[in-house]
Amino acid sequence: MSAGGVATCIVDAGAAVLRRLGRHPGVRGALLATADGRALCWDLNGPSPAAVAAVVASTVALGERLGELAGSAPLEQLVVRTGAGSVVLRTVADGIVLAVVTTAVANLARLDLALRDEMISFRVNAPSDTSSDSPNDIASKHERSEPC
Amino acid sequence: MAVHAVDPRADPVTFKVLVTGPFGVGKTTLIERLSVTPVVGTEVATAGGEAARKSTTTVGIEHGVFRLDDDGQPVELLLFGTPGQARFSAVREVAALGVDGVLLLVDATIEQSWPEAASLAAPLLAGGRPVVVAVNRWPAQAEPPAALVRALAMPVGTVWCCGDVVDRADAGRFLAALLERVLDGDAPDEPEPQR
Repeated sequence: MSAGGVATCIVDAGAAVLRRLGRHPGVRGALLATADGRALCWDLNGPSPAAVAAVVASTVALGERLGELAGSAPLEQLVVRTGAGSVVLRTVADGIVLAVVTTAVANLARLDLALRDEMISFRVNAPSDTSSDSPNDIASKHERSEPC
Repeated sequence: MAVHAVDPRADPVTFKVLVTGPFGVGKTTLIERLSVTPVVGTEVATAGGEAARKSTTTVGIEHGVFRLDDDGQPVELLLFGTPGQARFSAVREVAALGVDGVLLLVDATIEQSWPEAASLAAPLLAGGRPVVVAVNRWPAQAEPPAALVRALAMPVGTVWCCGDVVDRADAGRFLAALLERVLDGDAPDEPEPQR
């Protein structure tokens, strides 16, 4: 199944979010991918989106497992900090993950606030009855219904 | 900065493939031989008994892309390699999310790893996914070793391919066989009678 099988409304919403994030101070790139590691849209300078999507999705899934150590609650975010910058990972909709790459001096608290606002864009644009569906199910639903 | 998005009309069709198998059977080598993009690896140095067999091991996922064509249609297989050791089962589960097909790599010459290959394959077969068993270090034209076939107890209709992952043509054949299975769509579901 191609990543293109995901509802185009998710990809469109994601592209708009990526454009807004690109204007956020300290943001160097971003990528939206399915939870099973297929790139949907991206704004990356150089690295292969397919490879980044694979690593992002796997890291989020492992982060969820690790988070279970803290108790049972959904993963909110995962931050990887290095001397060169940070990568912030989040699940933004059912089966969809977002990665944001920042500079080393980026204000991650402000980015976090911006990301929380952006979560609403995904919720508004995502079909409402997707709580247990995979992205591909969402896609098949939308092929039958009107665009969102 | 510019935002790019997948384009289902213009981009090649992609399938996600899990490349799995026990420790030290050649998963990393296969992906490195075939990938047209730089392979994303998570190899670290081994310690303890494993170090005697191999100096490095994959601890996270590995990612590469293999391009082939299906009757003139370009197809990309997104290769997701996994660690082989039992302790990394969580990583294998994560890599297996949403896969379209599974390449189970086994080494014909390391008999003690066959039971491990069988237990590794069991959860992957549960979903009825297309699976190809690639028998590494075994002549391409030969039938797979009968003892190996018995040890793995794969479902009836499972495709077996023999060869050597060091040979790019053999490695490519393994994946072409899997693509064929994926495009066929119907996975075997009855367990092999003998066990």
